[in-house]
Amino acid sequence: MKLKRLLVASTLFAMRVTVAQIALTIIFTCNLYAKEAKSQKILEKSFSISVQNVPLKKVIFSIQKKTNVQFTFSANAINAERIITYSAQDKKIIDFLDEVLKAYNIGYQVLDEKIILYPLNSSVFRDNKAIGEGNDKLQKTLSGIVSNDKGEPLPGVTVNEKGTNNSVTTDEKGYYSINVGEGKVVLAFSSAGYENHELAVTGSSSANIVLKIFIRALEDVVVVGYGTQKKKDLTGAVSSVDAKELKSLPVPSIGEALQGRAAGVQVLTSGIPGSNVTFRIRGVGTINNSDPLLVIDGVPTNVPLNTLNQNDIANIEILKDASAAAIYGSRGANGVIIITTKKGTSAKNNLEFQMFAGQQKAGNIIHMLDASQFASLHNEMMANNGQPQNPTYADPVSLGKGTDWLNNLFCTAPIQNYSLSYSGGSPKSNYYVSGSILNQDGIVINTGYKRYTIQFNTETKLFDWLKFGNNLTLNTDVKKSGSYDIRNTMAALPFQKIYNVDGSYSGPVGQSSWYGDVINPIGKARINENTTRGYNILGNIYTEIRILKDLKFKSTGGVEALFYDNRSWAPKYNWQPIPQPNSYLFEQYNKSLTWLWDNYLTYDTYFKEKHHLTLLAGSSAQNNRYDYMNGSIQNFASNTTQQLNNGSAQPTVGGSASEWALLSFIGRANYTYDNKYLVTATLRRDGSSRFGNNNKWGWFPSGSVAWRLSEENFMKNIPWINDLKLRLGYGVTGNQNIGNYSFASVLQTVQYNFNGQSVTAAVPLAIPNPDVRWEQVEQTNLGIDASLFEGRAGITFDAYIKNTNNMLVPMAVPISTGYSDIFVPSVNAGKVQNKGVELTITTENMTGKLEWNTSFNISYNKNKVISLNDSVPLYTGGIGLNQNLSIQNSGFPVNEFYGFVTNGVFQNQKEVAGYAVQIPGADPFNRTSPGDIKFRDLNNDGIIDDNDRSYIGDPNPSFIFAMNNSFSYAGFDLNIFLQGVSGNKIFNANRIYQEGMAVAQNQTTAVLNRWEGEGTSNTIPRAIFNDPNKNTRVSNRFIEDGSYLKIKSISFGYTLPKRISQRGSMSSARVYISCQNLATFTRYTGFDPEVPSSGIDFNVYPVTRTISAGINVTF
Amino acid sequence: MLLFNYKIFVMNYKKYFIVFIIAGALFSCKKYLDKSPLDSVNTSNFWKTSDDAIAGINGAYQPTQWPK
Repeated sequence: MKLKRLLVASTLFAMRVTVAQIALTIIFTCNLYAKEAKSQKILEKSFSISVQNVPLKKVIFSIQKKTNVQFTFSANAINAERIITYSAQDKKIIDFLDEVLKAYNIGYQVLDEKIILYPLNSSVFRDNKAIGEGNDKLQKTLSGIVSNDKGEPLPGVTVNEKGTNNSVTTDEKGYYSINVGEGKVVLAFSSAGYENHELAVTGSSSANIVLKIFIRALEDVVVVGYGTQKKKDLTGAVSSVDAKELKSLPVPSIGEALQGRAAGVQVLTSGIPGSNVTFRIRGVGTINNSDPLLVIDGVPTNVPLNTLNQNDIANIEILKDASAAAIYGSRGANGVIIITTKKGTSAKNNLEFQMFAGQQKAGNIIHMLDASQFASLHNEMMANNGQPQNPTYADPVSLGKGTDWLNNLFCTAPIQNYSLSYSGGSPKSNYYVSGSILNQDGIVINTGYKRYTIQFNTETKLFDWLKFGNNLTLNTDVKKSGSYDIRNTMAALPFQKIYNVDGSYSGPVGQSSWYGDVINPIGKARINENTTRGYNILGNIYTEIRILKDLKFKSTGGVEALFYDNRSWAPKYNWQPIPQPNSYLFEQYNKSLTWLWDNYLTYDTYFKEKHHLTLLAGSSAQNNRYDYMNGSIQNFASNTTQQLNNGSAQPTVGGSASEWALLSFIGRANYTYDNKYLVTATLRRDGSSRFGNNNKWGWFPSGSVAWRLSEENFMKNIPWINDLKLRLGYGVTGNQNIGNYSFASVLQTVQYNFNGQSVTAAVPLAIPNPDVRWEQVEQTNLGIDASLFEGRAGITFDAYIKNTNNMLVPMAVPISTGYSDIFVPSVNAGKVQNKGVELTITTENMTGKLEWNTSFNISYNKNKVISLNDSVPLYTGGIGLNQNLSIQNSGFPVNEFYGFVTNGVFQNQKEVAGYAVQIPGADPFNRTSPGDIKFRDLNNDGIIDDNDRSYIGDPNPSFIFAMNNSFSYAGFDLNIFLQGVSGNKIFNANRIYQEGMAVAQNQTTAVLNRWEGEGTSNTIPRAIFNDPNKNTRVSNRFIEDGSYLKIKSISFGYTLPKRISQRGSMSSARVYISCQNLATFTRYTGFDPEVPSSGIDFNVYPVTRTISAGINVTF
Repeated sequence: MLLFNYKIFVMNYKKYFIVFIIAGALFSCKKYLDKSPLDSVNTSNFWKTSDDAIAGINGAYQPTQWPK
């Protein structure tokens, strides 16, 4: 009952938060039933058997078959090969265990629905004892099986005799055997992801069995920057994504796989092959650069995320609040994404092969008018403006369908990925090596991406006190960006054929009001080349020195070398409307080198049993130099010699360099009392070359506390609460993505004539700002973590207020200063606020044969510019029109859309006459007329002009949400992943042209419902050449609801049964099929509602739908 | 139980000492954070020579050349 009540309460809560997203949460009221102790029932099951001279294991297996009760054991440990004779009639399992197995010194324990068998004493390990006899010390052997709470044996668990270096690890069956000293010994068991456990063993000869039920849940170790922490000890808001969750996602880049995996983390993907995703953690924090810091294996890096092999990644942590991110100081303001690559383990050597291959398609292609529809529209458009009609269009019906340009630009494109890795190790060292190849064609012709990666990680314990390790990523990629123009392709006229009769590309010939002036978009896409080649090295070597028992020193040296070449080639062509008489080549070579040296000491101690203290102190130095060089040349004798040497006209050359350096001192203290009260304090001091001389150094403090209520006595007897923790944190972080030289006072050199003599003069260009510094973010976070029903339900809730202060905004420079008011410096004066809540729920709905797990997250964020230090707003979001689409102004969200507000369509002349003046005039063809759009006269002055513009839409989603359901049954697994956003608006700017009906460009089929006389439409205006009423002005006409829910991924897999895969000496083999972006539920009419964070859909490459099949094999 | 391994510590303290000295040396280098634009004339690389001073004065008089 309690369980149900809680679920209902949490659902209600979610509903209150989400309002519109009820549907998603409903599923959580589904059956989540508490686990019952069925052990007694199992032992009471009866069976009949009669065998003679067979191995013990056969007997056990046949009982297992007859009773459907599973037995787990190590065949060596209980000597399952021994031959026995046994017969029983209607015996209970418990009798078999107590009567038969006990006689063979085999004990048992029931875990969930499994029976675990183990040897009862050490008699079977006499050999081991014999080794011990040679030693001075008396020894005994302890052995047992380590298993998890599901009764599955755990390999690779370290078993250590406490206070010594004597350690062993469990084998594949979870079995261990360790020689220990006489008397009382304490065995310490540890394994990543499980609770450390200690067991005191007394007694002399009997080898005690350790069969510890490990509770998973919050014992996972989380990387938090300059160290790790247990999840249960976290005091800040950190989301952790285990790469195993992303395993059946055949996507080209880890960024795409992260979409929807963490509450509060919006991932904006793009369909462009080789493109990177955009992260927005807890809203848009600044009108400037809002990208989070990326840290790979401890090294803050600029390496593009899409160049990594997804299979090399072990886990990803996202530091969301300031108390967690403050350890990264002046770079933590937009959150931190920490990626940890895989390591080998000593437990098992691994050879893993993974591949997938698939087909990609555009999810949705916009329908354009066909030739006859366009011709009649064009005739109407010309007539409405009193212009002569095109005689070619005289009989629209005869023109038929014409060319479907979009379908010629988009194609079905293959994608393939192969990855091979091997890993392993000994107790002293481990390694992980992998290589991968990705080959992806784009769904737009002439686009694609190829990637080759190598990962090489090792770690070696040279001495007990000294460890060395390295992480090395090498990759190279080729990105073909092509020369497509999606909007131009929409605009190309349908009656025009792609090719002329002679096979050359066609072009509009004749007056542009009739035939348009769109360059053949297919021809351009096919003949032009734009390629970027990248060569990336990301490497670090680290050493860890144990100075004292509790004191460690770690030093990391890292290098990041990014080389990338851009190349654009455009051959000459002679098609209309603008022939290119010269071929053109542009090349740019870029080099970015970053060095890093981190040193820190960690002191980790327990004292007086209940106190746990961890102290960290260190420093970090990082610097970068970026150089580029480019050249271009025109007029090539032949298209086959595409080198700079071969051009002959208008050579250009360019190049420059820039540098930055960062120096930091880091301190952190974690203190835990009795696992109940947790305190974390961090302090970072950052000095950056990017900051002005008056503000070279900044302090970034944070503090957070947590209280584990579940450890209090009054909570301990509530059986269904395993863990309950309250967190509160506050911190200050910075954003130093402010440009390398914002502080610099640059002088412009000019020449002028003085007394007939040319003199050189140096003039300050902009007023210098030696105070320029980081954008500062203060964030307060309140959180709750709960683990319920023996870990079967996990809930994390966070609420935050994130205030960006000192945001860089252009300075208002009074003209009286004598400085330019065009080249103005930036000042730290703007303010932005983000407020929000996040909820994550994970549940194990069903366990046993049929497993069903659900994870769900939803986040709400409200974004507002508080101040810009100036009453004049900033206009942004230009798309080449004479008016911008977006505005930054206090009181409104970042990137709010700004423009006119529509008020229907004028149905007749009387309405025009009675309305505020829009476009007056004597010429009836060139003034506001019936069929034109009414714009609201917001200031009521009777004239529609720029003062009637208003705030017309917020591109930032209020809610982002995702839900994953995974099922598995008898080797089959099914994974369904839904993801969505709501509350955001999209400016569908393609429609300005493609529903404008004002020029000779093709239009979408939406214009078939245009105004063609009184009462025909109140939303879509008439077609009129030149648009005298400016129906296409920036207005809410083109703003649409951007909410969507996507079936982002569905995968269905089958894991071969062990007995079959082992025949091929494989330890596991899985095949699967998967579909990405299967379906999108949205009211948005553009290609895809996933558009860049500005919310402007203009020429955006659509997200693709991919169907693929894959294989994962582990040996 | 030993609080720390004294022997190892004595054996190696010199190494740690060197490490810390190098670390200290790096961080005491004040110029580490002085980076100026490499592709423009700015106050950190200007005002060094008499020619610079004359160019500055010329700059101050340039507005006299503006059309009245």
